[in-house]
Amino acid sequence: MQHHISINDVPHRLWLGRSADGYVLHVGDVVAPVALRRDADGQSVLDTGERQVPMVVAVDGDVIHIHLDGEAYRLAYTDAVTFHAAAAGGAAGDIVRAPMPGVVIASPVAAGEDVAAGDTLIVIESMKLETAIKSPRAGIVETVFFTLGQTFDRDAILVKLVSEGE
Amino acid sequence: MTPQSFTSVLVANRGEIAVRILRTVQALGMEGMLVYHAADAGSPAVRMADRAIEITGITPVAAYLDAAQIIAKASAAGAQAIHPGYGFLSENAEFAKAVAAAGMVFVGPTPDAIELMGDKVRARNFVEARGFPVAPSAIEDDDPDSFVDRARRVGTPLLIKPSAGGGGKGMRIVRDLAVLEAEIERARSEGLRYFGDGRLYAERYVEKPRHIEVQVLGDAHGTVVHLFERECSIQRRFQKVVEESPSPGLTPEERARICDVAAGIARAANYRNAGTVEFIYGAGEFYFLEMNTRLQVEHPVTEEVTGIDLVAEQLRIAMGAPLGYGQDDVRVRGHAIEVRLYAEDSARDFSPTTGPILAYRPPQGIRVDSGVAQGSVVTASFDPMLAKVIVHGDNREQAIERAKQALADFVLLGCKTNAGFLQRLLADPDFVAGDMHTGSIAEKPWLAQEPALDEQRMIEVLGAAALLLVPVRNAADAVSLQHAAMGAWRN
Repeated sequence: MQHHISINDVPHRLWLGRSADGYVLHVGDVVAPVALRRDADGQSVLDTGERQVPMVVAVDGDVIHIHLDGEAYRLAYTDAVTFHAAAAGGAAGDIVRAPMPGVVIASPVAAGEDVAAGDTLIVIESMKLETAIKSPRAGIVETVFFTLGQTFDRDAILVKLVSEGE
Repeated sequence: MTPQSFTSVLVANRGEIAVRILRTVQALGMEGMLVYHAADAGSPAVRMADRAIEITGITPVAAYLDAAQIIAKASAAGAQAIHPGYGFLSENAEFAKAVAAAGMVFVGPTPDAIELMGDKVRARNFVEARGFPVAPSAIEDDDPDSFVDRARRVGTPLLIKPSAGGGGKGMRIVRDLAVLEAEIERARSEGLRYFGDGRLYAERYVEKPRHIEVQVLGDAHGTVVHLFERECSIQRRFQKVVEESPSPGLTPEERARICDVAAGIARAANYRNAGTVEFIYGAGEFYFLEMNTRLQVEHPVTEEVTGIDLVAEQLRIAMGAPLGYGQDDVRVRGHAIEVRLYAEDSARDFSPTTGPILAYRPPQGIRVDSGVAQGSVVTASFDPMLAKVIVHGDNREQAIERAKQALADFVLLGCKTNAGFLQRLLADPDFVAGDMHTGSIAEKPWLAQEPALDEQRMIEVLGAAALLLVPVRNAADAVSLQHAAMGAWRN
């Protein structure tokens, strides 16, 4: 079974198989035996048959963080359903996401209000800069997810418009 | 504010600088108190404080800016002195006055000095009037009729900018006086367009400027010394990223001159406590930029090369003690570098990142001034600086190598940081050669980009992740070994 895992937001496909000796990783044309063991003091060592690679790993649900050779990598697992739904597009015009983490400093519209394309939906502050988040289209505000003074992460859904054609 | 002895100090700050100040306060046997907003509950600073007092505000930042609330709570807790750290209330003369009025000692300069240096125009005029170097300039408003002539006398290269301006809009660089009048008209029309104000200001433009600053200390008895310079030219978005001492860009004569000028400015201002005089330097010339009337973020590099604990000196001076040493007693040993670890994504124009800190292992045997620990959550509420890594070496080469190694060894997982960027920067040939200016990072956009993964590294991280991800592991385990063996044949 193919899995979708991104490394620092770059998507990759792999599958993990088994052999009599353990697990085998298949990525593109590469096939490599892989085994992971915990070292003393919480380090991990990945054994690829040819190499013993020390690393520090942290697991956060479907996200794996790895410190290896002075670099930090973020690997995120995407299940097949989500992956294909995202690839197909979906109702992207209905939701407005945060371009960067920040704090809400003005919230000029409320649920139920009509907005035109380009109207300011919410004003955020990040990096000491004010940014007005504009409506991508005309429509009706369904939900404003954050109130004044609240902080949010990048890609958080800030505002949702009522879907059209429903 | 009359100097007086004290045995307890309340830190009106947070993060790494609160930890840094508490460390010295406690080492001197005093009680270290702290105010904190709920967003910082459980932070290393709160855990370290002998007493932590909660403050509230509409936003976390607003709480740390609430002078009246902080003073009231400090007073009620019996604090005898307040250290403001940097940022927040550190350069607020009204706060310094109010602390004294409440019967506590403000650990910092006098309100007069804060006011003088806080007004950039007043500070510049003060410095110029006492014969110290400021960038030659001409202000149109002083006498509009003679502006062109006065701008001509400033000489080239010349920077023309709208008086009302900011953010580089409407700025013109003139390298040939033949086009001066045409450029003035263009700058004026841009000023009108962007700011609705066509008044102009001209000053000598420094090509490839370096940011050099000098640490000074003054006591309540009129003694002022400098603690040499820091080079802070490596900046992104006007914020410092790497600082070092000594500067690799100054000759010994230039170093002596710039440090003497800084001490002279502090002396002229009757300056008391720790301060920093900032200069712009280029082509053998330097000009006063501003004076920061507080402890600086990058103060550790000065501590590492001089062996002087600046926070301890601030506290002693605030108690009215004499410095007890003169300029000749301050010596520089070796080379120190500080790199700032920011929660940010260098490849996305250094925009801030957030997340939980899932693993945190600072490098061993290295000074790390940090405000976070394993379990901390980095949010967008505060400045994205997480920690500072400070190294010392016998010389600059050794310090650079130690900084690179310390960054490579620093494990911080869960929130993206600029550690990779810093390692690439420290390996940059121009940086290694000491050839840098405040625009260096912008001129080297490749440093901000993450290098492509080679196949071996890709296999290693994907292999580890595949084994750690439950759904991937389950899918592999669901296949019987017999089928797995068949799969192997087909390959």
